[in-house]
Amino acid sequence: MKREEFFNALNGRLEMIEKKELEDILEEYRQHIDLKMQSGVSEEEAIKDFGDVNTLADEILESYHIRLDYDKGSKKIGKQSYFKIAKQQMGKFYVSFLGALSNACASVKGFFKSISAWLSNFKNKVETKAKNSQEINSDREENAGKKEEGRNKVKSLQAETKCIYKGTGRRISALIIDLKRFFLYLTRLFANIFIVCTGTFVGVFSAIALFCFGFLTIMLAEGYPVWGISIAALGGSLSLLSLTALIFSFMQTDKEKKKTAEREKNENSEHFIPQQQENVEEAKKDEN
Amino acid sequence: MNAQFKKGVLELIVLVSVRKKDMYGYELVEEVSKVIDVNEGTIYPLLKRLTNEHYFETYLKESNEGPPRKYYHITASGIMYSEKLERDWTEFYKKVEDFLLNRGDVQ
Repeated sequence: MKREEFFNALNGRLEMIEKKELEDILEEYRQHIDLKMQSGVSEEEAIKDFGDVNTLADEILESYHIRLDYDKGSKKIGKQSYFKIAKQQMGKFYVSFLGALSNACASVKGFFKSISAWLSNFKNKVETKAKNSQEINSDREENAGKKEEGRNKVKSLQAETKCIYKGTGRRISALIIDLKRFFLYLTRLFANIFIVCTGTFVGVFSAIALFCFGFLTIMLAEGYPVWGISIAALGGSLSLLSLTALIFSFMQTDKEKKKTAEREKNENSEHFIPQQQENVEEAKKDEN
Repeated sequence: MNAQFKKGVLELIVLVSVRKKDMYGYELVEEVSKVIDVNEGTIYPLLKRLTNEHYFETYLKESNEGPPRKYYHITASGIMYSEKLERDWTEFYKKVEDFLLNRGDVQ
């Protein structure tokens, strides 16, 4: 193979390499061939020593994939995949974090539910007790048999304890539900206050930036060389404004508050006294 | 000579040669050929790869005998990499030697 043929073949395979780089590579090969010829080898021989042009081109192209790991044997990763991998890892972390957060919330919910369930259990027992207590009294008078007496004694004991617990149970469950709602209201209130404060704070800065931009525009019109600062002021005011808008968007307004409150009512509907059924139905309608 | 053996140690020999002294391509090919007989085609892509991975730096130096030559110089990370390869090689070579010596009588 002659020199021109060799370089044409290489050029053809290595088109995607940047022109300067490619020139660099080819120049090095040219020098190598020349030096070889100086030591008495013919041009054909020198080029033959390079081996197959296609394999050579393949290896040159391979060398432009940047390896991130030391180990020679491990899989080659291109620059792109590095970012993909970083993104993947961040995504995994974010997903697992969300999962953990939702688990925590679910467990808290579950805890409250279990308490109210335990209390409603008492409530039910108490209701049945109220029925039983009357029966027990009449049973005692009517039945002379020992077996039935024994059974009644047990029932009466249960009924008595249920009576005691009924009142307190109802009161406690109502208290806990109220407490929960109160806490949520408080947190929402504090969050809103915090958001409004940050928003105003940032808003003030954006107002200052806007004012500066106006002032600088006037100076520009007068002929002062303040192009850079005025562009910066414009950019600053725009970004601060959008930041303010973002912060204020996090606020929960009254409508949203009501919706979340009603949703919670819906969840606790099982434990509600029948009088409040209509509220629950309203909430269900809203959701639909 | 087994091609796989040669392929394995080529990188090590190239790195150690450049570590001894800055060299240009042709000079390096001659240096390596003293140790193992390799296809010149494989050396230049290898040099390019090692440069892209920042184990080598290159600079041009004027020469009396023609156009300026591109010299290769080893970087700090290149030195670290070459030392790691040397350790790998010693460990590998020892293990193989042990295996060959302790296999008992040839059957």
